[in-house]
Amino acid sequence: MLEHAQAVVDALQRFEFAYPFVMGGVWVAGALFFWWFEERRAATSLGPPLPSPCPRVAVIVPCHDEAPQIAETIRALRELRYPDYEIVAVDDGSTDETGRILESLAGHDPRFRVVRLRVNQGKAAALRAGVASTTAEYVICIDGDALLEEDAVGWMVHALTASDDTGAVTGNPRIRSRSTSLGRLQVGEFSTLVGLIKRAQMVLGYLFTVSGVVCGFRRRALADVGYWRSDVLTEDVDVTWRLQLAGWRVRFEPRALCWILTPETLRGLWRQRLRWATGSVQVFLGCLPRLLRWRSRGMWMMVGEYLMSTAWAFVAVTLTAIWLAAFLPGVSLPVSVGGLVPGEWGLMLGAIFLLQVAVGMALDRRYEPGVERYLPSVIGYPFAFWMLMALTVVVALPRALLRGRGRPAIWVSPDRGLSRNP
Amino acid sequence: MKGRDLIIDVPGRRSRLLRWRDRCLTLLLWGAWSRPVDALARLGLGPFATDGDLVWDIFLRDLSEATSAMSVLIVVLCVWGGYQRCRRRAAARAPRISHGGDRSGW
Repeated sequence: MLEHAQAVVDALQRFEFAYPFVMGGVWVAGALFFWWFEERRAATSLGPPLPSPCPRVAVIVPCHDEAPQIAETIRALRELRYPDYEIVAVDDGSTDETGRILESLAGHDPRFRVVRLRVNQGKAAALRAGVASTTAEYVICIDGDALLEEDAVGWMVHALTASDDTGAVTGNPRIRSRSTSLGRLQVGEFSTLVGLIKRAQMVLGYLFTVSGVVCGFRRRALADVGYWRSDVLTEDVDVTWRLQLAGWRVRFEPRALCWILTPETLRGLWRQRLRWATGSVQVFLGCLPRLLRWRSRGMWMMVGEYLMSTAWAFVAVTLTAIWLAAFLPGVSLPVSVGGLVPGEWGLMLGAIFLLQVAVGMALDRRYEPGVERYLPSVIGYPFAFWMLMALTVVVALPRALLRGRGRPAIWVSPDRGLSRNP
Repeated sequence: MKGRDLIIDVPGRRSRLLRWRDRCLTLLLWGAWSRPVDALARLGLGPFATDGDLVWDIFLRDLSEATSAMSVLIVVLCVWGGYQRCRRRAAARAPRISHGGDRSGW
C-alpha cells in the first residue's frame, strides 16, 4: 500500500516538472509560428493602414477612484493618431476626486464626455454604461490608469476591420512600474510569457482572454453575446469566451501598445492574481454546458490546457505541502518528495524557461527596444510566480464555488505600484 | 509621449521595508537555481560520478517521454495553425456573403 502511495507521489512529481517543460516548448513553437506567418513582415513604423472611410471609434474608460492617474490617461487619449474618435469616461461611483477631475477635463474637449454612475456597480456595469452612451460601431476599452500609444487605436481598428468575423482584439500591455523586484518580474512576465502564450493561442485560433486593460470590440459582437456580465470577477475572460463560443474571432494585435501600472506589493499582487484565478474558474463553470457541445470543439484544446494548468497547480501545492510537512518535528510521513527544486529536472525546466524568455524578448524588443535589460530580474520568475499562481488557483476554486451566482463584482482601488512623484 | 518616457523606475524611492524585501527576494530566487546549477556541474563531470547511472537513466527516460509529448503537441499545433490559415485564405477569396457570428467555416 505504501509502495503504491509513493508511486503515486513519484508520478505526480514527474507531472509537476514535465508539464511546464512540455508547455514551454509548445508556447515557444506556437509563438515562432505566429511571428513567421503574421508578424515578421508586418510594418510598424508606417502606422496602421486604416480603412476608408474611417469608422468612428469610442474609447471607453471606466474608472473608480483613479484620481492620481486619470488626467494623465485622458491626456494620452487626446494625442491619439486616429481621425474620428470620442472619449467616454465612466466614473463608477468614485469616492475620491475622479469625478471632479473628469468634469473639469470635459469642459475643454468636445470629443470628451463623462458618464457618472452614482453608486459603484463594478467594471462590467461601467463598460455597459459607456457603450450605451455612444453610437460608434467599434469600442476600445482601457483602464483608468492605462496610457495608450498614439497609434494603438488605429492598429486595433485595423485588426477589427480585417475580417467580418472578428469580434474583439486585444492589445499589447507594457508595464510602467519597474521600481521593485516584483515590478521587474512582471515586466518579464508580460514581455515574454504573456505575449508568447497569446501568439501561440492565436495559432490555435482561440485566445484565453483579451487583456481587460486594453481591448477593442465590434459593437455587434458585444450585442450578440449580451455585453459584459456583472457577476464574474474577470469580465474580460468571460466576454472573450462567450464571443468565441458564439463564433466570433478574437485577435491579438501586438502593435497596439498600452502602458499600464501593476502592483508592486506582495499583497496587491496576491489580490490581483486571486481575482484573476477566481474569475477564470467562474467563467469556466458558467460556460461549461456550452463548451461541451460539439460545435464548440474548436475551444477544447485551449480549455484542456486551462484544466491541465489547474491540475498542475493542485499537484504543485500538494507536493510542496508534503515536502514542508517532512520538516515538522515529530512528523513521519509514509511518502517523501525529492525536493522543491530538483537538480536534473530543474536544469531542463531552467533551460526551457530561458528559451521562452529569450524568444519572448526577441519578439517583443521590436515594440520595446531594450526590454532585455530586465532579463536578470526574470530569472526568479519560475520560483516566485509559478508558486504564487499555483496557490491562487488552489484558493480560487473553493472561492468561486462558494461565491453566489448573480452576486455583482464591484471593484476596489488596486495597488498601482510606486508612483513617479514623491 | 513615447514608451521610455512612461516607465516609472525610481528604486531610490522605495521604503526600507521594500528595499530589504527586494534584496531577500533576489537572493532567494537566485539561490533557488543552485540545485539545477549543481546538476549542470555534475553533468560536466560525467553522470556516473556521484549517484550512479540509475538516477540518470530514470531522468533520461522521463525527459525523452516529455520531449516526445512536446513534439507531438507542437506538430498538432503547427498543422492546426496551417490548416486554419489555408481555410481563412480560401474564405477571404470567396465572395463575402457571410458575416461574423456564424460558423459556416466549420
